Amino acid sequence: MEDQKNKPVTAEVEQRLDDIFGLEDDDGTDFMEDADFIEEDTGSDDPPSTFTGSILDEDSPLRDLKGIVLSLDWEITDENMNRFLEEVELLKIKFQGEKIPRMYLQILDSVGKYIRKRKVRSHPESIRLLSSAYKSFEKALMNPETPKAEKRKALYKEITKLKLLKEKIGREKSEHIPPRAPEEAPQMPPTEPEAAPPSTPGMKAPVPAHEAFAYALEEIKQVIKSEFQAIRAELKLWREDKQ
Amino acid sequence: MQYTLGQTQLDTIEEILQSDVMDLGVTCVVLIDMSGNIIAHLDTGEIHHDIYSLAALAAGNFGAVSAMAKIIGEEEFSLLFHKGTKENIHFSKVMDDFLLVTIFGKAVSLGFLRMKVAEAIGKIQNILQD
Amino acid sequence: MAFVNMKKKEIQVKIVYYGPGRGGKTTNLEYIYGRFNERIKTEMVTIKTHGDRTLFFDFLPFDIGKIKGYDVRIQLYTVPGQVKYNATRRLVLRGVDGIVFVADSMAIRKEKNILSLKNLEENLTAYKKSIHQMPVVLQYNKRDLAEQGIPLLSYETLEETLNSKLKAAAFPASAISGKNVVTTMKKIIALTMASLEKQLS
Repeated sequence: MEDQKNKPVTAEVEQRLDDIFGLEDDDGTDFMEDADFIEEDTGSDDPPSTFTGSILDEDSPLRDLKGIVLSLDWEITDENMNRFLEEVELLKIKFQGEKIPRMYLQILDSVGKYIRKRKVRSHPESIRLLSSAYKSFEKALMNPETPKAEKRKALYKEITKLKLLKEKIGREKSEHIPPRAPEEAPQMPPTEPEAAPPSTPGMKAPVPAHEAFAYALEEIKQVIKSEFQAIRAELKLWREDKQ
Repeated sequence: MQYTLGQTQLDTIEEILQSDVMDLGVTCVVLIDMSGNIIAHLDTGEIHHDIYSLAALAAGNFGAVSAMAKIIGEEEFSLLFHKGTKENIHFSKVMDDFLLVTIFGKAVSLGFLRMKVAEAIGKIQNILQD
Repeated sequence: MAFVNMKKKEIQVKIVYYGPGRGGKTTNLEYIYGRFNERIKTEMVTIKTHGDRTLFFDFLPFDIGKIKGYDVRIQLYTVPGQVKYNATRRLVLRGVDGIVFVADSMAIRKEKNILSLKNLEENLTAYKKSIHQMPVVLQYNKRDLAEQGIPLLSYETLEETLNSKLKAAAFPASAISGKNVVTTMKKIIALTMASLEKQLS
């Protein structure tokens, strides 16, 4: 019985193989005519802002941050992200009086906090932004001879990317939950693009002390404002969950 | 271990791979068994790699690397990744019988990919164990 | 175990060419690839050492079209024959559906043939498989060397030492000239497909 069942498949297979490989294979019957040789043993049997050293130097301000950013390239964990944000905080203090570094650090802080919070839900572009913002920051710091206007231009580029990303995230989120208000307030505190003017070649003079203070104060206000917004939204969500 | 995957399971696996991995912007993702057979395959449609040979080699490679790990006293390696100039390739085990192979370019961060792949694998494991 | 994709209606069948080092396993595949490249339209993958010995495996896949509504893809593999590559041989044997044992007809290789066959049985056991329950074809390769006066084992001796228990189909061959290469391949594919049909039903 089984033979009959098998026959069709075998026949089909054999026919197919003949079609592909032809019937011209030699059957090698001439080998059967070999003389019986005696079995002889013939023995023959693939690294402030005016740092001028290398970034990897011990006293380079970015040495530690660079190391952490490189490790984030390989693996994103809570531990890595915490180390990153801690280092950013340290550098914020170090670069207290310096606008451009502070702005970069603010971007890195915002994006870092977003990624730490959202983890695997982070928007893929946020990681890219972290990397590009860091690179731009490093370039600005390690090349003191670059004109300030050019540095501001590069910084503004990163700020714009951040803005666009936030808009994108906001848009995508509202697409997912149309009728209700967005679940969470924008995760990232704004980095006051308005306070950072685009490159204007005319602005060469250093900012007066009282203006710098006002500016820093504005920065702080914005950060506090957005943090409160985030907390309010979370509370709202928590209340809704409890109902 | 013998597996029989129904159409629904395969469809779900493909959906997971699309949303969790392909949507990151990777070039190609292939789920194979350890003999080198392809179970699911998604790509951007722009590449024409010989994925059958790739699968055979990936399985062989993974097997060889696993054998090496045991020789040096490791159960297995947690990161298997080859970096190219334009394209890179990442391997991740799915239970003991399958391998997820991802090909991706510079635009995708390895660290982020690893997070997403781990999540996708968790979901796929649930399906395979059903 | 043959891989069956119900969704795409595809079957992938794995056939491994096994045998002692320098016995002609790779030559079998190279012959098939060289001769039928135009028709089968796939590439052969070889992972070799600088000395042209198989390091990992050779791999030649091709489609044989639809059989009973399923697209059948045949995957021919060879293993490295040298004793030191046993771990690799075991890897390559994983999921095998049919085996061609390529024996070296040279008289001096008698022991190596026997050891290699024993090694095959051991490696199959690691996967809880038995050579007696698998599609197997024997090939007694290098028969052409008789013309050069090199002492060969007779067909009968080979049968006695390698095939007395297996009782598998056996073909004398010359892989380098192609004699019985395709016959061997056709036989193993047919046997494997028949066995697969039995298992699936």
